[in-house]
Amino acid sequence: MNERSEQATGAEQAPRGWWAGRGELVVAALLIVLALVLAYGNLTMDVVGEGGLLGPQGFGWLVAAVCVAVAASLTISAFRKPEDERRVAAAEAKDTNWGAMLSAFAGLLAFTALLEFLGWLVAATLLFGMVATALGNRRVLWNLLVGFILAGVIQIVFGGVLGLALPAGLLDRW
Amino acid sequence: MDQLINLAGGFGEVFTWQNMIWVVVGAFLGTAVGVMPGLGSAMAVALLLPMTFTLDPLASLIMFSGIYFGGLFGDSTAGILMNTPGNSTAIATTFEGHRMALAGRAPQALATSAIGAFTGGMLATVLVVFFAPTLAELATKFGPGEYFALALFAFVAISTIVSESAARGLAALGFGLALALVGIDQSTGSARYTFEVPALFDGISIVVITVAMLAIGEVLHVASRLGRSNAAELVPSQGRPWLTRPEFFEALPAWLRGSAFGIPFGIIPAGGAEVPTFLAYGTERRLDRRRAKPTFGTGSIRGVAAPEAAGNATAGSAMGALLALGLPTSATAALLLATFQQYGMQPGPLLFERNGEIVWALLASLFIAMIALLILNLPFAPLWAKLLKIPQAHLYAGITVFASLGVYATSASTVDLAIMCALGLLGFVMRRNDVPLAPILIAVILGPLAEYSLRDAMANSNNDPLTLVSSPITIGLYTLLVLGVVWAFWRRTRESRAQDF
Repeated sequence: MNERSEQATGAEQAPRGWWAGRGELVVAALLIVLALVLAYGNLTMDVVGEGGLLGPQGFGWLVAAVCVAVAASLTISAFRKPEDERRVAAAEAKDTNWGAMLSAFAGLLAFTALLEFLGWLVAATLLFGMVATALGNRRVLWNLLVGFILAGVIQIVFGGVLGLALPAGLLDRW
Repeated sequence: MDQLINLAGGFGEVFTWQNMIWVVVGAFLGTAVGVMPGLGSAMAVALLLPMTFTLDPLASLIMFSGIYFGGLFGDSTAGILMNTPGNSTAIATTFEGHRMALAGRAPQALATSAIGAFTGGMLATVLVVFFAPTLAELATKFGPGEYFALALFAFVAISTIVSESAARGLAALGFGLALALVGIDQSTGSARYTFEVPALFDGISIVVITVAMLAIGEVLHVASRLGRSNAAELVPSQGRPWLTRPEFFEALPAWLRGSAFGIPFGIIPAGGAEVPTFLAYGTERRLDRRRAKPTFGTGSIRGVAAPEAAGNATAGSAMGALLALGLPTSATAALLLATFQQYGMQPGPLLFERNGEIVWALLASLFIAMIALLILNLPFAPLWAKLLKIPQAHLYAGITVFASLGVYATSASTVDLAIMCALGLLGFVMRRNDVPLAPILIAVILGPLAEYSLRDAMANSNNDPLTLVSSPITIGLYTLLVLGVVWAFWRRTRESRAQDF
């Protein structure tokens, strides 16, 4: 089932550099971005009324400070990481099937973008098909059929019986 | 004995055929989701919550109680048969449970875990019935300072004491606290971090965050490991799912000891049942070593019984903490809180007065749910195990579809779906780097409580920080917290010196 996925890793055997096995730096970077977003939000906030000592921004500054401190501590530990620990982490990180992960994620993005246009039935069928195919089942038509049945059952049970509003999309316009 | 009269009233309310159907449907669906590999009780609740949106409050809470315990009954099945625990709380059960399955005693392991889950849940719920009103009365004395201490306790406990690495736990806490800040500020009405997106004014729903972190993150993680790690193998469960008399009496003390570990942890906001399940497992192992014929390592029935009872006991008393204190101590309890709020009810000291009928009906339905679950799980455990044969690709594709449905159904907006994609990616990055997920959920749940009680405490005392440590309850909590941190450091240094696995 994973002829394609094995090729994908073959192409991704990146040379082992300084970055290998220091994955927590990604988390640290995300924390810094988050702190910047919080700071930007605080500086541009339209504060309504009198908020007391902390006000609506105070807790935001606090969280931003925690994020920066934790990012610093993660960065320091990434720099000091012993060689053997890094080798284990690097081996694990290299062992990633990016093709499968990204195509599953693409399915989710497509569903988000197209749900209201295509309607639940079509969009959910496609989502199921894309994720199932990404996860290694290469019988695309069979996946779509299973997805269509699941989407249909959900439409009947949730939309019909329980009265949840699911978008009709294309089917409405026909 | 007011409690018994109220509880009888609750039973009266629940004993209608529609409500009984909701309990059974909830128990059935909860078990089904819980059994799936990689999914546990919190996921069962998050995925199935949208189903309850369209019901009336009582039916919805009743169904919820079925789902809540159903997920817990189910999540050890995958652990025992495939060595892939559905929840972090099922890990401790998995060690000996999977060994029992490999030794050909899978049905006994499943039965032990089902009875354990029943025992723990029952004992905890009985205690909740008797002590929740007392707890609620105590909670009326809680001011903002006490609530802030509780929230801070939960944050430190979950991120530094419970998780492996303090920096990673705190990283997760930071993400969670930031997510909780988005939306209109409750006390001034200022829009915070919404960046002109109207859909964010109400904040990011806990359902969206839970589903994205637990379900979407897991799907992406499984995809990224596709064809890499060895697939888990399913051990067939054949034979009578009953315990013999000696087996039953061997497991009985372990069930009770496990429950004793579990019950107190439901009230402490330390992130759910992970700690008590491991404490229960560790205790059984130490007791076992002293016996003439140690059974640990070869599939010990007590090693399954104790953690399973502890896990469900925690879940049961967490319900009490939620109802009486308004304090969610686990992600699952937080989702129940969201359900209550959706119907305009606020769990906490006043809930028993204002919505007494519904609370007692909910408690009654917990008992019914557990009996229904024992019936569903004990004889039919091997049938549930058939769910583990669903091909992985279709299982996770189905989870993705249900997750998207749940997120879209919470507010019928595609903005929520976009947030789900982004947070799913964050969940994936966190899984890759061993950042625990539990602190995010606790931070999202208790972040607002921490913030507003801190601001209230400051406003009420003219910004005197000493007000935070001015009552015996707060001093007690902070002392406990310091002791916990010291214990965590002691345990970590000891563990790095002596590993006995």
